Formats: sequence, structure tokens, C-alpha cells
Amino acid sequence: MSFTKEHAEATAKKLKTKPDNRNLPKLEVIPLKDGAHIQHQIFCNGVEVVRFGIKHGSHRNATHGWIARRFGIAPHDMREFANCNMSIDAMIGHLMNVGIIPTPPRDGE
Amino acid sequence: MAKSLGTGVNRIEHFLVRDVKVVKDGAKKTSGHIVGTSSATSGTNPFLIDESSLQRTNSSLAETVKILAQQVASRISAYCTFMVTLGRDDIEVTNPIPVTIEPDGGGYIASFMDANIASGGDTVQDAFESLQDILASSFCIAEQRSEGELGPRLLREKRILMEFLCRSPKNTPKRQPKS
Repeated sequence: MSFTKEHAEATAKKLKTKPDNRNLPKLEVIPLKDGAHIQHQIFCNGVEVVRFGIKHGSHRNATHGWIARRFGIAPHDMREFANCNMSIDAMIGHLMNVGIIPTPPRDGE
Repeated sequence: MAKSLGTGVNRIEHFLVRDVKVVKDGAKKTSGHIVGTSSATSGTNPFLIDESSLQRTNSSLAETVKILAQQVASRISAYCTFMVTLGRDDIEVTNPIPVTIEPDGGGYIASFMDANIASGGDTVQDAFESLQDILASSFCIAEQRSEGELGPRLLREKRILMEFLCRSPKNTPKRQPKS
């Protein structure tokens, strides 16, 4: 089973949710329609950290497997996030671990 | 000359003979080259073929070809090609972009691995054109952002895109009319 357009749209929607952990930053998703894609720009503290395109006009089962690569995550885990089996907190934590979201310097560093 | 194609659906004995006799409406006719089937266990003359048998053979062969085509398609792994244009007037490709195309979930994904940009489609051509579109879109967004507005991954992506793409001169210099 691949990562489909339906999963991609669910991902874009879920990235907007507020994390439970107050220490984690909230992500802002700004869609931009350009050409054959809707580019979803993900901002964290005013900095664009990741961007992915969803083809508009494609059927709902069309493969969008490249989005997992943009997030540096396995397609299976990306589906888990889209299907709400992975929390937004876990996703933000992962994005910090792989360096997509810059980790704020700790006090004393 | 006989050749066996084991496909899992039907075992077909496929042979090519010259001057084989075909039975049609009780009359014997002679034809040139015929592709037909025979049953090794039937004990009948393998060179006598009726029309219904030929039709069954045709449908079996069509089925076999379809299965073999699916098997070949499923064995195609990723391959690489180069993109030399985005199909737009306003953006030029300064260096050929290496593009990897691979099957994924019934469709294809075309990727520019260096920049980690990819897109997909139902066919290879669709995936390739989709990548052209998203590269142009990413380039347009990236050139509007300053380096401070981009995270580490997108900053790297912007630098790579700038190596491979550039804006076309909007207005070509007009020639001065000769006096």
C-alpha cells in the first residue's frame, strides 16, 4: 500500500493541529496553488522548514510517496501520521531529530 | 519447431510450420505460415487445426502476452535520465537535471534526488511532466525567500536549484534598425 493523495491531504490537515506539549512549536501550513500542484508550505516560528506538493486533479489513490521523503520518514510512518496513529508531537519530534526543524539552543549553550 | 511457454495459466505449445493443412467446414485448405497449438496427449495429427482451436489459441496467446508484459513491467526498477527543459519560457535549465524514475504503487515517481524533490503520475511521462512542474514551482518560491526565511533543508534545496535553474531574460535585446 502506497502513500496516496488522500493520505497527503490528511497530512496537510493534521500538521496544522496544536501539539499537546507546550514546549514544542506549532506548525503553520500555507497552501499555494501553483501549476499542477498545491504547494503546502510548512512554517515553524516564521521559517519555512518543509514544503510538499499535492497534485490537484489527480485521483484520490494517486501515489504521493515522495512526501515521506520530504519529511525524511519511512512511508509506513507517514501513513501512520496521516491515519492519526502518530501524534503531531511525535512528528514534530521526528522533524527536529532529522534536522528539518532547527532545535532551539538550550540555556547555557 | 516447437517452443513451450509456461505461464501458469495454460501450457501452450507454440509452433510455426509451413504448408499446414487447416480444416474449415469440412474442406481442407492450405496456408503458408501458421501459428497454432497442439495437444501432445490428444494423439491427433498436430498439423490438422480447426478454426475454433485457432481462436482459443489466439485468446490464450493474448492472455500469455498480457501476463508476460505485466511480469516485465513489474521487474523494471529505477532508471535515470536527464531533464534539459522545464517546458516553460521563463525558466531555463542551465545544467541537465538527473532524474530518477521508479515504479511506486501502480504509478511512477520521478525524483531529482540531489534536491530531494519528486513528483509522480500514472505513467512515466506524467511523472516526468509533474516533476517539471514542481521544480518550476519550487524554484519560483525559493527565489522569493531570503536565506533567513528558510530552514536548513530548504536552504540546501534552494542552493541546488540555483545551480541547475535560472531565470530566462524576460526581454531579449531588440536589434537596432540599420540607418
